[in-house]
Amino acid sequence: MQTHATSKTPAQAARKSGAAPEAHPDMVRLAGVCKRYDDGRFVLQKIDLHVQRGEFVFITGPSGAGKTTLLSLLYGAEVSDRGQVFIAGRNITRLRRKELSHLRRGIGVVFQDFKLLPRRTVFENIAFCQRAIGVPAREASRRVYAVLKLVKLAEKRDLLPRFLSGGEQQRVAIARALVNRPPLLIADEPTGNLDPEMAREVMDIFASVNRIATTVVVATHDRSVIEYIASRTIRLEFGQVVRG
Amino acid sequence: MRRWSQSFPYFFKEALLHMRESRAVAALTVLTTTIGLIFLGALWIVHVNVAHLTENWRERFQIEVYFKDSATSAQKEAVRKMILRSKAVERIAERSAVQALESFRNQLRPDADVLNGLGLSILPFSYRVILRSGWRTVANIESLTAQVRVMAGVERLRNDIVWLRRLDGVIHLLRLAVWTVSVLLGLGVLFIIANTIRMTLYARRDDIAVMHIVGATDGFIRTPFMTEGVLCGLFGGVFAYLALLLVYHAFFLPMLSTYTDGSLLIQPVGWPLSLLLVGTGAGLGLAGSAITVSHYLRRQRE
Repeated sequence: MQTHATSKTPAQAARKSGAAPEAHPDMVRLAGVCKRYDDGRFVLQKIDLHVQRGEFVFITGPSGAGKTTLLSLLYGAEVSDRGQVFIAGRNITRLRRKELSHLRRGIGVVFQDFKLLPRRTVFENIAFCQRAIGVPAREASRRVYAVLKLVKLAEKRDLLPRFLSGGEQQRVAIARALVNRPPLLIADEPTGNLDPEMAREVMDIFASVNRIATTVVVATHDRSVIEYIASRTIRLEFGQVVRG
Repeated sequence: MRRWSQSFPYFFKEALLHMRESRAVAALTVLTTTIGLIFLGALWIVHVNVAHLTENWRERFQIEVYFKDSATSAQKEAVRKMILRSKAVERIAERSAVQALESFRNQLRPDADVLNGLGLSILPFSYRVILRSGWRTVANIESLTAQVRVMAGVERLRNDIVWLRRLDGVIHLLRLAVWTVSVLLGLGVLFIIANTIRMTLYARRDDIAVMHIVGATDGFIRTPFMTEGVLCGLFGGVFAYLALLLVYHAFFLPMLSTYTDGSLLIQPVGWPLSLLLVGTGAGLGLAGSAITVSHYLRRQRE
């Protein structure tokens, strides 16, 4: 699996960030991770888990169980209060700011609310992220067309997000997450705003990228989605792993 | 460096896009920056011209050394040599008693007859000491006069040191005022640009969040905003220069050519002023935006 975060190969990009993706069998590993709210209550307590390279994993549990916080720790949006988070064998709690930025280029993130930029077209939403990591304009354009074909939105590239359905907006968000061909894809309730048919379409895309060796971690409390893919499920309750 | 130069068109385009999307704020920023820089430029013009004028007055400054009637040629020569040793001295003009009387007679004309019968040596032999340009300072003059005054044969010295001291005081005060007002104006422009960039940052916070998620470095996020700050400052500097040029050619030049000998307001309106305004504008834009973006990104991290 390759990332096109820069003109470098994923291995080069990973080396720059200090990661060693080819060397470590675990794509994700959490060791004794704790995270508290500002008021002192625990969101996550002593989380130990690992996700192997190329695996498809669901993280499930009721609202407030800590799913979103757990995913935020994986791409460095949150920092654990205790314990360590390893991505491709690299302890991200010890990374410097710039190293973390480079590491993130190998992680695609999909959100429930899509987080698309409303003033930019479908094409610009994805190309913007390519330019933000320094990909030259022509190369970025080529990659964006390729990924738009993958999510079957090439013909809607010039539309603004508000003219798309929820499912289409989510596919744009997925295209943005996949445009770098990341070794790790993280999705936080990606089907939360979609009807069952759209949800299945989204999960099909995830399954197809997983088949070409991308590790996929999806947080959801939608049982139908979990049953549709039938993969390993880690269950969180009150900030603790109860199954997984 | 190569990577940065490849990305520069992107930074520039993004900065222009920010300005176009919030064009009212950008226009207001450029306008206020222009006004601030016009004042700065005007102050600089005043300062340069006052300095030019006072330098003209200073040019006329000289020291006169009067000798006793009993002073010998050797004593006069010793004084002459001592004076010429000073680096501040350009030359010495001798004035004999006869030349002094003739000069006095010319000044008294047409009543010069009152001097008839007083003899040829009623006025003393003297040296007029002409100082080099740029060396006519109070310190140089005091040092020189202190040495000359005690030499044998010298009766007294005449100079305008009190006047020069006052002139220096006025120039010092003027310089201080110009710097103080300039710094205040600069801070005002800095604050305005910083505020504009802050507004742009908040308008773009979703873009910035997405850029962070996809792995953009702080440097890459920061640069378009800093480019926007520099552009606001640059435009302000250019407009301020054009405004001053217009005012100078349309109003001051005709007025001054009518009422003065034309020695005022000539040299400042040129490249130095344009460089000062454009450079100051761009520098303040860069500083204002850099401070704001760094602060914003630091708060994001916390």
